[in-house]
Order: sequence, then structure tokens, then C-alpha cells
Amino acid sequence: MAEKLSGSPNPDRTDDTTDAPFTVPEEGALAEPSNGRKNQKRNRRERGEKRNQLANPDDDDSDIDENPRPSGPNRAQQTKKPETQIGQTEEKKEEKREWRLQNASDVISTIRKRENERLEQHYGKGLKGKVSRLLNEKPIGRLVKAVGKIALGTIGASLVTGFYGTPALLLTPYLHMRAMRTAIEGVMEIGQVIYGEVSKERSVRLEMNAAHCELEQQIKRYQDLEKRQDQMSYDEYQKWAREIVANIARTEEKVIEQSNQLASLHKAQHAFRVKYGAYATIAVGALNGVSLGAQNFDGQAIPDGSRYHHTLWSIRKGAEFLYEGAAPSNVETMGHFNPFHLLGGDTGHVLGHGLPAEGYVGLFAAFSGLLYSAIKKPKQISEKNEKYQYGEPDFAPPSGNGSKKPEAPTPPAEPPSTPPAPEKKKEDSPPAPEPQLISPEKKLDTFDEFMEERAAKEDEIRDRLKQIDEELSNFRKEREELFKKQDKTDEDRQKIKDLNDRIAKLTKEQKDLRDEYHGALIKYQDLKDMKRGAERIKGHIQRIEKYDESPDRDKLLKTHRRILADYERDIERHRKDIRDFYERKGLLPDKLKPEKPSNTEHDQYLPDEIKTNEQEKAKWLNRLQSAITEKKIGPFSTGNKLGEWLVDTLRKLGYVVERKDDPDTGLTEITKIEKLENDDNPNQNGNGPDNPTAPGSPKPDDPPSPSGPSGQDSPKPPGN
Amino acid sequence: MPSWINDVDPQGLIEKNIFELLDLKDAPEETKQKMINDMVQTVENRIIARILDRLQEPEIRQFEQLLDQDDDNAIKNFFESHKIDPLQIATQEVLNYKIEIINLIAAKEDEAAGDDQN
Repeated sequence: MAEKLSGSPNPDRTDDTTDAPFTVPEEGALAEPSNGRKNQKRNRRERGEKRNQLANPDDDDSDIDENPRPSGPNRAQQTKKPETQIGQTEEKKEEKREWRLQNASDVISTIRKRENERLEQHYGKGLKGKVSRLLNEKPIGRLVKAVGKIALGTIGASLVTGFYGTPALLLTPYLHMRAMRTAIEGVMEIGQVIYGEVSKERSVRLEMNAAHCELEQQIKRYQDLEKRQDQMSYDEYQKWAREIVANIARTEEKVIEQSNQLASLHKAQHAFRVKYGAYATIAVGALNGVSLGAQNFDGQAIPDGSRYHHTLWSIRKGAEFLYEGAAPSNVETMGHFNPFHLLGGDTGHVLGHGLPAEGYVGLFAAFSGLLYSAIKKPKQISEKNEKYQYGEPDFAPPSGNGSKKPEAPTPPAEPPSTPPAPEKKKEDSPPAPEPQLISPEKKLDTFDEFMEERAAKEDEIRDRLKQIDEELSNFRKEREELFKKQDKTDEDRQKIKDLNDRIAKLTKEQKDLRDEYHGALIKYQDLKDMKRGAERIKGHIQRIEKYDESPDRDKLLKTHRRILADYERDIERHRKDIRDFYERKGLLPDKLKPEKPSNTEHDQYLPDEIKTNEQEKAKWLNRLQSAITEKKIGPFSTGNKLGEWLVDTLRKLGYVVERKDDPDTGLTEITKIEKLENDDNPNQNGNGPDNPTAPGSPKPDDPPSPSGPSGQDSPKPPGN
Repeated sequence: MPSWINDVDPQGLIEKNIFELLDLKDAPEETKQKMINDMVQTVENRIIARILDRLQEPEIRQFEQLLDQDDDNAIKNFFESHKIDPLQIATQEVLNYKIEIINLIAAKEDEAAGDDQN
């Protein structure tokens, strides 16, 4: 759908905020009130009223023409207005109010008509009607509307919620608080949109867009240059290529920097809203009232909920009964310790019953939930969005991806292609209509092969989900018909039972497929995007290394390497999440399951403090196992405990490990892991290579021996 | 910065009804009721638009099917899986609407006052 409808400022989509909302009537659309205004003005003129009375309606001096101010000796009398003057001022105020009412009514009505037409035109009357029914008839929709009405303020909160008795005491405070909190967060968001925060964001966005355009242009220039290579001398080509590549790299860096800035702005805004939104809600709720639903605290047994009183609780006034209409005059206050009474607040009408225990439970739940949210959530958000810290080692993806690294630099616009589409595999897949989970006989040696097969089923899964929806709907209808039957035969009962079984089975299948679709396949698409991103950065690094001779070269390289490390870290996390998902579901082929290292085999190398922590122990041993099987350790922060331990332990196990420490980035890259099969192993420390893993053969406290061509290696002993 | 912004405080916007904010508390009940109906209808339309705008064409068809099926749980799951929080949307839309109306009326009043002074 090319055009999207909702045009009001949308805090979810802050980029929309600069657009003029379509919901605001266009010029001329609100002509009615304007014309009405003009007519009224003309009428006033006819009545001989002063022209600028609307501009200064409260200014009593505006009547000077009709009621000249007394002067000279009568001046003292000017402070006391003649009765006729007071009457006229009141009249003008009334007129102004009338004008505003007419204007507001017209504006509100015009907006409704226009938006209604637009919505029906865009989505069709039928669809609009269906969603509208959802909002008006279904519980979830009614709650949405109730929240809307509370926030609109046209109906008292307690009257809207409409829960009765004890469930109300437990539920309504939560609902009311949630609505208020959403509202407060919403206002804060609007505040952020209106005030400086978003102007900052907008400028970052503009800069980012400009950088994107620049990047595109540079890429085009580079592509043109490639095409015209034959028309120029090699030196000339080199000169131009160097310049363009350096520009591309710089612009790319700008884009990445700005997108990080944008992300951190959003993070800060969200954390602020969650934290202060919750505190503000607690304060507002406690002072002004939290709905307790419809209650019957005065002790009369009224079975029908419609005759219950609606109740609000607040620190200031205690529990209040709001009678129909919820006008302030219809409020009675219950017996309640009220600190404000001591300060001279109204005592109210005491009904003689305290708030029941359930009421306090509901209130406590509402307030404590918000407090938890205020304290915990911002922390979670900031943890989730935290920029990568290099304290924890993460590991580059298995070699499958790296092997696709292009030999020659390619323009960034054409990132290396994604792993080959598994057409061959698709042919092999079973023709069954339901998406079958991995067929056991299929040869799927690598994680990428496995995932490509799953991804190829994405359409199939979506179709199957639709089919399940239809089937479920039909079965439910059929079952309903059977339920409605007056005299059910045994056959009917059996049919109902069968239908129940089929519905249960289909619902389970639906859940599994949805889980996979949302939990793993979408993540896999992200993973592929990240891989492309990593390849692009690798391309940049190669180009900079090859062509860039500017003074910024090292800085650029450093930045790009850090970005690459970030990508690889994310890729590895995604791979792990996806793999875990399929493993949990029991769908991962045995071959792809991570081997569980025997705890007795390698744990002798573990530092003491890790040995006692089962979770950490498993993590370290798993890392060691994957380093052994994949012969790869991802870049890690130099000096990182786990990273250094891996290097050290591999050497103790008879591997040659070459490392490259980059003092600029603070990262250690492992360039080689190779198992030596003879006594030449320089890392063996005298342990026989034939049985490097034999318990007792390596000494965990042995100092690591130097190795690697870089000559930089000096791994720290485990535990440092 | 427009002058009405100074009046935007969360508590006032939430707790005061639109008639209080527009200083039209004493308007005739009949007119107020008509305005309430219009406002509720507009907000409802905006909520609908916001929900549908979040969906792609095939997802809209899927949503429509769910509405036809009358299955509350499926609709709830659908919202969850598409990260649609109707409560959040409703509140945002209402607050936006309140601000918008107050702003529009204030602007028209300023404009009228300007016309009168000229």
C-alpha cells in the first residue's frame, strides 16, 4: 500500500512529525465556521457593537464608546461599573463563548466528515466497518475505546471501566493506571516531539539523508570510473579511484555515526518516558484518584451491578462514590484516614465502611507494577540498547560466511550476493502441503544450508497459516452448529469430540508455525542483512588498505574494523538465537547440534573461579569446543579473560595459535589455529602432541610460550 | 513556539475534559453530546487508520479474515505478533486530537481577533 492514512502526529513514527497532518482541515475546509464568524460579526455591527470586542472580550474599557468613562470630578466613580456595563460585558463573554462553541462544533464535525470519507475511500467501507465493530463490540475494542474516552475526558474513568464487585477492586486500578500512564507517556512523547529533542533528531535525520545521497553519488562515480577505466591512464585511474574510495569510506562512516546517534537519541527518549511517565502516573493517580470500579461499600446487597456506585480512591480524598453523571456534586467520600483533612481539606460524607482488603490489594498491585516499571524498565532498555562494550568477547561467524569474501574490491552498492538459493534442495523437499520439519534423510551439513532450507519454506508457512485460519474457522462454525442442535445424537457428540481434537491440533500447529515465522525466519533475514553489511565493510577495508593514502587512513581503518567487529558480534548472536530456537523445538539435525564438551576433559584448564560457576563453566567449555571444531576465535578485546584463556588453552592442547593485537582498536584477532601432529609444536611446553588432551599432561599453570608471526603474543594466564 | 504549548501539561490534558480545556463546560448538553459523538468517531477513525497503516496489503487481508471469524484470541494474537498496541494507539490519538482541537480553535480565535483589530 503506497499511501498510508493516519496523518496525525504519530509519536511512533517521529519522522512523520514534520509532515502536515492530513487530519487538519485544509484551508477552506473549515470555511463554515469562518463564515459563521463573519455573519456574527456582521450581526454585531448591525447591533452597533464595537468591532474589537472579540479581540479584547474581557477588557471592560472596550465599551468606551457606548459608556464613556467619566472624567474630572466623576473620575473616582470609574472603578465602579454601571450595572448596564456589567450586563453588557457578561453579554459579550457569553457571545464569545457562543462563537467558540459554534466554531468548535463546526471544526470537530468537519474533521470527522473529512476523515471518515478519506478512511472509507482508502480502506473501503467494509473494512472500516469491520474494524469499527471490533472497537465497539469486542472486549479488546471496548477497552481501547474506554481508554480513549478516559483520555478524552468526556467520561469519568470509573464509569467507563464498568467492572463490578471484587474483580473491580483487583482489576480496575490496574487498567486505570495503565491508561493514565500511557497517556502521560504519550504527552511526554508529544512534548519531546514538540520541544528540542526532536529538532535534534530531525537535524540528525537530515544529515543522515544528505550523507546517504552523497554516498549514492560517490558510488555512482566509482561505477562510472570503473566503466571508463580503459579511457584513461593507469595513474589517472588510480588517482581518481583513491579519491572516490576515500570519500565513500568517509561518507559511510558519517552515515553509521549518525545512525548510532539516532539510536541513542531514541533510547534516551524512551527511557525518560518510561521512568518519568511511571512516576508521574503514580503521583497523578494517588492525588486525583484511581478507579476502583463499581462498588457497594455501603453494605446493601444489590445483585445487579447497574445499581452499584462507581468508586475512586485517592490519597487526597480517600474512596469516593461517584453517582451517575460523575458530576462533582454527586461525589461522596468514604471513611478513610485522610492526611488532607488534617490540613483543612473537605471531610466529605462518611459512609461508615473502610476500604476492603481487596481494594488495597488492587491498588498495591497497580502502584507496585508501575514502581517496578519505573525502576527496572529504563535499565532494561538501556542494557538492551547499550552500545557494544568490548569487555565481553564475542566471536566471528563460522567460516562459511567469511569464505565468500570478494577477492577484489566491489562497489558497495552491489554487496556480495547472499548464499546461493537452494533451488536444488527445494526440488528435494517433500510435496506434502503442510510444511514438514526437516526430513531426516536430507544432507544438511552446515547451519547456512539448514537455514536456507527453512527460509525457502517461508511462503509455504505463510500459506499454511492462512489455510489453518480458514480450517479453524470452518471447524468452529461446524462445531457451533452442532452445539446449537437441540437433540444431539451420539454421532454428533463424536463429531464434536473429533472437531475439538482437530481444532486443538491445528491450533498447536498454528502456534508452532507462527513461532518459527516470527522467532526464527525473520531473524534469519536480519542475519542475512547483517552479513551483507559485514561484507560491505570488509570491501571498504580492502579498498582503504589498497587505495587510500590520506592522513585519515588509519583512523578510517580503525573505525571500519570496529564496525566490522560489531557486525560479527551481532551475526554470531543471531546465529546462536536461531540455532537455540530450532534446538529447543527439536528440529536441529544432530549434525548441527553443538557438541557438548565433556566436563571432565577440559575443565582442568579452567580458572578456579569459573570451575565453581556451572553456567560460566558451560559457556567457557562450549567456546573452547567451538574454537576446536571451527578452528576460529572471533576478535576479542585484548586482555579479555575468556579470549586469553581460549588462546592459552588451545596452545596447551597442542594447537598453534597465531594472534594479532591491534593497539589502536584494542582488539585481538586470531589469524591461525592449527593442530600440530608432531613434536615440532612450539606451544606444547613439553607435553606430547600425541595425547595433548590427556588429563594431567599439560600443566594449567605453565606460562604460555610465544608463538605467531606477529610476535605480539603474550597471552595472559587464565584468570587474569 | 505557539502560545498554547505552554498550557500542555500531562495532568491537565488527561484529567480535564475537552470542554473544560475549551472553556465550554456550560455549553448546552445537546450540543456537547453531538460534539462528543463526533470526537469519539474521529478518534475511532484515527485508531483504525493507525492500525491499518501498520499492515501491509496481505496482512490487511489476514486481519480482515480474522475479523470475519470473530475470534477474539486470534485478533489479540494478531495484534501482538504485529506489535500493535491498540491501547497505546488510542491514548496517543486522543491526546493528539485534544491538542489539535485546542490549537485549531485557539488559532481561529487569534485569527478572528486579528481580523477584528484590522
